[in-house]
Amino acid sequence: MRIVDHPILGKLKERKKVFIEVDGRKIEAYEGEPIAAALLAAGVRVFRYTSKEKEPRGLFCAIGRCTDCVMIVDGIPNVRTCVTSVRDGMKIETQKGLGKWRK
Amino acid sequence: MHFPLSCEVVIIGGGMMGLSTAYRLAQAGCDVIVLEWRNIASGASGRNGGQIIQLDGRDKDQKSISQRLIYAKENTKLLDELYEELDYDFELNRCGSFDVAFSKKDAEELMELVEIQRKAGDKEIEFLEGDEVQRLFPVLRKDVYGARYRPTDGNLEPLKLTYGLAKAAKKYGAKIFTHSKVDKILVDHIGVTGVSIQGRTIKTKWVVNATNAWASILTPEVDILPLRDVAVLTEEIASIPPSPIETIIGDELVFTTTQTRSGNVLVGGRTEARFRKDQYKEDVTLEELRENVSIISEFFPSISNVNVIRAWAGTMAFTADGFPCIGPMPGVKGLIISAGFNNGMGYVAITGKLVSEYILHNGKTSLPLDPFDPARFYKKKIKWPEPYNYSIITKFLGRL
Repeated sequence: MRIVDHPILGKLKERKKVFIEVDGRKIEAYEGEPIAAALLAAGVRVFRYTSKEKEPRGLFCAIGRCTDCVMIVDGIPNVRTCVTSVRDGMKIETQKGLGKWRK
Repeated sequence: MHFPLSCEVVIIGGGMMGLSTAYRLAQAGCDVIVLEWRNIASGASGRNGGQIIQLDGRDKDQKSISQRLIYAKENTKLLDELYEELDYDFELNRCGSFDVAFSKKDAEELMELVEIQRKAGDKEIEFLEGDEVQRLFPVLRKDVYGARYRPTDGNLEPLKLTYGLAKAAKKYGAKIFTHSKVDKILVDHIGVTGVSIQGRTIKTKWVVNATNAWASILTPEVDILPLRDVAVLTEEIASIPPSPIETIIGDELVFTTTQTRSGNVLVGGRTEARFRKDQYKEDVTLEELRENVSIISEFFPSISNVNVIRAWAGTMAFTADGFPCIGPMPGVKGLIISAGFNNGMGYVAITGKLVSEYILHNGKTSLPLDPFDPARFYKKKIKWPEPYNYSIITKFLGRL
């Protein structure tokens, strides 16, 4: 899902394409956009599962306040995907509970 | 407060040592009361990290190591039993502990220590190579040279342990009075006659001074040094893992960390040097907060973005040889000292057991109290360095 023609902001500008890996799946993203935007465009809605009830969570406030969208990014858990820009080759994992440190 | 007029045993101090003793005594049917000047676990019992490090420090004396091991092993066994016995989950986690080296020289020293300890009969201790430590601790800085590792160490929640002991002691009939400050231990020419509290007198034959860092205030004949330490706590994060880590570079403790069951990482170890009277202050200065937080970014680069949510200080205690004072006070029949602890988890269960046995069985205990005999410091004035902190004191005692 991407808005290609916004009534106020106008048409979506052409930008350089990069690739990120989400739970082992390669998806396309635009350079500089938040991870969460790329995930939504690729149809990913569940970003993490809660610690106690294991309930799915995804994008909520989208401005870096609520921490509902945190995921494991390049081995570091609790990264807010709505305020973190994509980088080519980034590895992103759905976070279960508090996640897992890989580095 | 409705203090009783008399009782069999008065325990001064509602921390884990006092309550561990009260629990054992009450269980044996003894009429025991606990007098605490603030609240349960207000002192070091509620402020430490709960690290279970059975053989703390860098002792190189084989005889001393093998002797200490007997008490440490018994204490660990009793902790396991308490975890089953007490109707209170104090989050005991036997996840191992690490003494990490960040230079070749330190790693060589640790290797030597492991060898000495193994010769002294310590079968558990082992040396882990740098890449093994890195595999177990992915968040640690990459220049790890190795670590001294004990798989049976771990951590627990000290506040919960103390409350668990209090609850169990009460169940068996112990009376606990909080906000009750003892003014004086009353003695005659033979021994203890009672305690004086808020203008009243409680008659008793036995008094246990379990006030740790405050012990010398009530019993000035034994010099017990208060020592302040600072703790900084992060938000809940994934397991790093939870095992306590210590790093000593040269002869200075650089930091200690441990992670709670819920995932908060506790960091401590850097405090400013202060005079004796200022060792009881429980607030943290901005400089100390900065110093301890910088440990995270320096040694744990991956978690340097984690938020710190709380910081506090607490006061532990040192004696002139670094080991606690547990046992009868010379010259005063019925007065027992149980203080001078700087590694409470390593002694909490065994202290309660041995002190209660001493009281119940006329001075007979299942393990001798000799190594901890308060007589070794009786009326000895020690010229402590001033101002001081953990580093200065351990250097002074030659103990790290």
